[in-house]
Amino acid sequence: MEGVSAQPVPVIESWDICKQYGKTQALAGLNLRVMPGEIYGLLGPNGAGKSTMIKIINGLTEPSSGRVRVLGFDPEVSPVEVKSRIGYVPETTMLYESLSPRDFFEFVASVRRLDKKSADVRVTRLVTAFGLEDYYDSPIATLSMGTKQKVTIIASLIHEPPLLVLDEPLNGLDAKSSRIFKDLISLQAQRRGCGVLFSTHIMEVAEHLCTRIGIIYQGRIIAEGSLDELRASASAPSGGQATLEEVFLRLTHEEEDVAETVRALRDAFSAPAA
Amino acid sequence: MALDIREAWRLSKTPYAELTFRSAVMTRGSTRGGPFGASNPAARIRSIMRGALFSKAIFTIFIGVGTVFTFSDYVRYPSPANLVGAITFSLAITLAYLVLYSLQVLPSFASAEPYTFLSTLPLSDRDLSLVTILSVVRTFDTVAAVAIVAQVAILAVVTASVGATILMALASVANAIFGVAISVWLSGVFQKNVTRGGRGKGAAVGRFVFLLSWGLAAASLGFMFDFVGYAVPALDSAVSGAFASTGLPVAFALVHPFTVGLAIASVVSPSFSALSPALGLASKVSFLAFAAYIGLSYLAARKTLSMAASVARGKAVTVVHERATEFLLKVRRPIPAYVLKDVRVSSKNPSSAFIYALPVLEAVVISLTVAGASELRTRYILLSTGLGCIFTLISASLLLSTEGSGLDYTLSLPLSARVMVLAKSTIATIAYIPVPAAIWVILLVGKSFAPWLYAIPVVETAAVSAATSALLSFFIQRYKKAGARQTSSGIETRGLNLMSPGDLARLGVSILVAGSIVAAPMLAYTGAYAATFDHTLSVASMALVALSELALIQLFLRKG
Repeated sequence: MEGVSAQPVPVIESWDICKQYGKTQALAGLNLRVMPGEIYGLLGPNGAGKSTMIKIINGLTEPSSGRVRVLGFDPEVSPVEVKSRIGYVPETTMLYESLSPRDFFEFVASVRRLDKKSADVRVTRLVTAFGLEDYYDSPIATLSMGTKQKVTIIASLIHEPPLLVLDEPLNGLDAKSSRIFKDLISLQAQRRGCGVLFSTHIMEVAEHLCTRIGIIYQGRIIAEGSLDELRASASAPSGGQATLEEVFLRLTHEEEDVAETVRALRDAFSAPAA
Repeated sequence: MALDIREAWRLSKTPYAELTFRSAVMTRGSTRGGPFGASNPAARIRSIMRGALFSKAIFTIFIGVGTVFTFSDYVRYPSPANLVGAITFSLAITLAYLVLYSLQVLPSFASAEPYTFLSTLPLSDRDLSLVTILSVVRTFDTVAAVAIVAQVAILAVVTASVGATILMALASVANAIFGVAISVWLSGVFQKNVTRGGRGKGAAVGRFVFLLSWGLAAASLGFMFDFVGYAVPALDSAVSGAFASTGLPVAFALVHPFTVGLAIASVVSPSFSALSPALGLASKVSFLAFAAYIGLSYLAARKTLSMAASVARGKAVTVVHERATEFLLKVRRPIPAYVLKDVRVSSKNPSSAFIYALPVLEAVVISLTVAGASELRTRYILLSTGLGCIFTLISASLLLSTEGSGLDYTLSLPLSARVMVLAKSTIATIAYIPVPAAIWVILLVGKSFAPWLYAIPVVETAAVSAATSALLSFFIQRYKKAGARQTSSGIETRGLNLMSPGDLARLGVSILVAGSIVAAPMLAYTGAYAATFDHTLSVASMALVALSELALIQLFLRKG
């Protein structure tokens, strides 16, 4: 029987990834495994190492130690093979500001060696879906942050990649585009078996979109699983009581810190003017 | 309560820093600083600001030296004609360098981005405009001040005339105002060019004409010192030589800054206007025109202030988006796509617009070099070819700064460094084509049909391609390695930036290496000819070396 004996190969697998920047330890033995069709949410406070890990997966930077395999390739050894199979949305929009979205998509489609017909079909559908018609031939420099983000998102999808690596992809998107994007990601995962690594700070998004969540703290994954599994590992009350935000703060030991900070702010703002 | 001027001056320091930083980012294509320098964002910003200060100091020195230089002829041979020449070219050089300096400093001005935060503060429109214009004044302060002081001081010393010194002071201030006004206007033109969208042929032609004229104007300014040497004799014959009795002096009297030269020379030497009726009329016209130019400078100052006010309120540039009706793409092979992308990106960047002016300039310089030779001999062809190669290496290094922050996205695409190097090297090699073309035209016009003379610049094309590939691969590989060594803050985007002194040193070394690559085939030709006295064998040796270099660099790129 077809597919019964075949064990699905992880789209991303890493073993003990460490990354040292001078005296700063950005990653300290990070293990990660993302399966095809899975939307893996990577959550962590600022500076926890999310973007560094994403750069390593993309072959944009090399780990100090440890191993990573992306769709069977080592990004350090075969960066071009890895990049040709990934759809990447970076944390900050890094585009050629003087090009128009059309020029930019032409460049990306050409570098990715796409055939014209499929590139045209996908771009036309995505541009229409994200409402980019009014800005299609305008220089990217003149676009709002959210519109620039739509350009990056479309560029990451035009080659129908088997793996999407999304670093804060909802930055600047309006509610409608955000909803369309989330539904599109779910469809890509369910219908095509596309693996998705989704880094975000928005707990609600991770809670509703991701099939599995990994919490990264001080350069390593400290908890991983579905929301219920995370609740259990954080000893939080189950049955829908604790939100992901509460679980996250508990796991990263920031609950007390947040309460203390809020108390201090309340005192500062409610103090009578001198 | 309204801000007083001292308080406004103090406040203007912040938008000035932002203006300088953003302009550096726009023209040099780097969002967060250079890949080879400090990776700390604060250090990168400091590096950019130091670079801007360095640039300002260089321009200030150039203007100071230029002013003294233009008066050297008058000091040695004090004649009214030489005084007209000295004043005219002193003002012309100041104007040119002020505008050239502004090409670097002001591109982001009209975008209003440096003032966005300022406009959210509780400042009145008047105060906001004042702070905005003072931030622009800060960009020029020492450059303009040194120009004015140097011109007035040297004129006072060499003429010892109070009237002439007063006129010079007025003219210098007006000249500086023109410089600032032109710069602010150019900033608006640049911003419009960047924000202009559309897919039509009209927009594309408009952009092309803009970048060509921008590049040519900017590059020509660099040749201003050379121009002085040619123009002074022409001016001399117009005011005191063969054309003194024609209408030419009157025509000169109407054009700034000749107007100033003629008017001041008439004050210093009243007998000057009596040399011919035409000069007498020119002298009277120059005083009228002088007054008109002072009035014009007042209007220019007002217009510039009003533009500053509209920039401060975010009304300087209106962006109009055109709705696209079809979304079809033109998909190409990676190298042509990369070439096209580079052309599109660089065509909107004032610093890289030089690339498009260089082929024209190199053709002119080579034509002058070869045409000036009494006989079309091999050494002139080798010399001209070498000059053309230098221009090409400059354009290759300029291509590095066209990437900007977009390079980080490009590095996330399945694209090898080889493709990037080949694409940029292709553009640089195309920029070399005017060299053999100009040499061929001159050889044909000079009725010189020796085949080796035609072969030399053509064979050198292979060496040019190898040299530009070597230069570019050195920088691109350095960039990729720098990316791998980023600090934790360095996950932000960076672009290629040649501003910091360290990068300039590396550029110097790489140009030296690339220079050796282009020189080697020519040395092979010379050596072979010295040994055999056979031109055919010499060209064959040259071709062998050039093709070997090209093959070696291709091999290196494939392996890399």
